[in-house]
Amino acid sequence: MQIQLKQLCLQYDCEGRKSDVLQDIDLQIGRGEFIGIMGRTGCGKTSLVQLMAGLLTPTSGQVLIDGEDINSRHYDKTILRGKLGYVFQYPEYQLFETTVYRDVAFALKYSKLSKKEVEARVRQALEDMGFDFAAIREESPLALSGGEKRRVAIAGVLAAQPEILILDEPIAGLDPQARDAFLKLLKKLHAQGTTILMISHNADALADCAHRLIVINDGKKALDGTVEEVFSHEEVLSQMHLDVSFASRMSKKLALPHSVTYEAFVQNLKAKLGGDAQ
Amino acid sequence: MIQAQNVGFAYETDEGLRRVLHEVTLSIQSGEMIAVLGQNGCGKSTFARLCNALLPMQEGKLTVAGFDTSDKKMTFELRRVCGMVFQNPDNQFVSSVVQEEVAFGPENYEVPRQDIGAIVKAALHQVALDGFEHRAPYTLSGGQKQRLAIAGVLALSPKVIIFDEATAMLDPMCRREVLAMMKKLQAQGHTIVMITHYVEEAVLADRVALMQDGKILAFGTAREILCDKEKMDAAKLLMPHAARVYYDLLAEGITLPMCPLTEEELLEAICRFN
Ligand SMILES: Nc1ncnc2c1ncn2[C@@H]1O[C@H](COP(=O)(O)OP(=O)(O)OP(=O)(O)O)[C@@H](O)[C@H]1O
Ligand SMILES: Nc1ncnc2c1ncn2[C@@H]1O[C@H](COP(=O)(O)OP(=O)(O)O)[C@@H](O)[C@H]1O
Ligand SMILES: [Mg+2]
Ligand SMILES: [Mg+2]
Repeated sequence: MQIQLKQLCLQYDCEGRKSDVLQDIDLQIGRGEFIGIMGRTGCGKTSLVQLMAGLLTPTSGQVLIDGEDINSRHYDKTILRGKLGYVFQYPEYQLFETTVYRDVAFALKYSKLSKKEVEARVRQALEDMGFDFAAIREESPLALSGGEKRRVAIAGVLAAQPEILILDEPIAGLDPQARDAFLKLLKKLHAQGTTILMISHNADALADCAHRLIVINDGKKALDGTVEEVFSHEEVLSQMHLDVSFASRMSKKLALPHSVTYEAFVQNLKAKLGGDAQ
Repeated sequence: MIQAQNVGFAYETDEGLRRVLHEVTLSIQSGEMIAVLGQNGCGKSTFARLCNALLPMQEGKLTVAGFDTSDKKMTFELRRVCGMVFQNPDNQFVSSVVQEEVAFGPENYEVPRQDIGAIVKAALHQVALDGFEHRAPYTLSGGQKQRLAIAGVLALSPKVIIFDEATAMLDPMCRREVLAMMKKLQAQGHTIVMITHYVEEAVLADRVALMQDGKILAFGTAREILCDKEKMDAAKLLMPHAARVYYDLLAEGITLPMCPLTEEELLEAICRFN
């Protein structure tokens, strides 16, 4: 197991009152998994992944990464920073350098890479995020549109080539083309062995790339299974404010075999209508 | 309600001027709900910022609710009649308590003190944040912040409300609530402009503007624009799922009786095909 959460609880202090944000979360995440995390606004998704990344300390319970308790006094957090990449929900806040190049290169500052290697990584990450490297490198990050800023911020995390990639609503704000290109990139990274956890409200995107879905509701783990399994509980999800993917919803309404991705749905529909026509 | 005539805009950067809007001309009627779609960086937010004078006019003419946006003396009044909910709500919070955040606008515009309490309560209720009056905005989750930002704008009941990706971080249910609220505000006479990357949301608009590289590529009813593969391809956008199914079947020689815009229409079209 690469990431293990044991009886994890988190409370926030709110004007003296304690509120339970996460309760008794037990979770095991294997190396190389691609996990989607869903849940209504405010249910605790961001808090959950911040705990995994060591950005928050649990009220009780443990977070183990590669078997080590990251909140133990003896744990060296620089190890974590080396293997885990974290894209914030509003990553554009993390942009502070004077040029896009320097911003993306920032994560590599303390690496032992040569200048040339750094440049190659920065170029790759920016091109992966759909930018023309020469055109964007000297831009000020502040002079970019909302979606462009987000893509630069993601490039900054990708450049470090983390083993574990945690993404908090990374596709909100990306245009459809940028979004699809990004999902493709995530699939490639996953195929190369990266462990990926992605929070998203976009059921279609999760169906497209995640293998396992974890649904958080009211601070607890509500559902955990393959995308097919989780999306077969359409009613339950809808009570939790969530939608299944277009394909899942439509295949049910049309009494087609259950599919969660758009491509599979269209195939099934073609077979049905093509067959009917003959 | 919004009249744009040959509006152009260039940002000043270290490497000189960067033109991002070219001769934008469009006319939005009072009480309409408009969706603006386009790729990252095509100029949507820039146009929105010109509408309430967050950016200074450079070229062409833009009037909003009768105010000329280049008239600096009227900027304060203009911002009251043209409210804006931004892509990232944290950028517009000024207070450390939710109810003060919502009261900020009315106070700024010298609404009588005794009315403000009721206004704040109503605005928070409209976005389902009852009970959050005393929370600090920074303790809210992403989606809750978006709703607070909307409440802050509603407190001034502006004629025009521009939503710049205001639903981007919301769960599907909250998103529907906010969209229903946009519809409700429209029914009450507000003019609504929503900038979005969710083409399924644009379906709800009366008319849709497609932008590309700082130009208006097309402007027409949701059906005219969103079901037009050529136009959507040209703007490098995707059609709604239902319309995509229509074209994907068409490519296989299966012709549905009509190009559907919504899931309901798709079901109907398939039904009629059988
Ligand atoms: N302050 C600025 N200085 C210089 N250039 C800017 C500035 N703000 C935006 N730009 C540039 O202007 C263009 C249009 O930006 P704008 O924010 O209007 O795009 P947008 O359509 O809202 O995109 P998105 O979908 O990503 O929000 C982009 O190329 C962007 O890089
Ligand atoms: N710093 C904080 N102090 C107090 N409450 C907080 C803080 N951060 C988040 N919360 C609350 O914790 C809950 C979960 O938040 P979050 O993890 O951001 O949810 P999600 O990412 O699922 O939208 C929300 O009710 C939110 O208001
Ligand atoms: Mg969150
Ligand atoms: Mg924008």
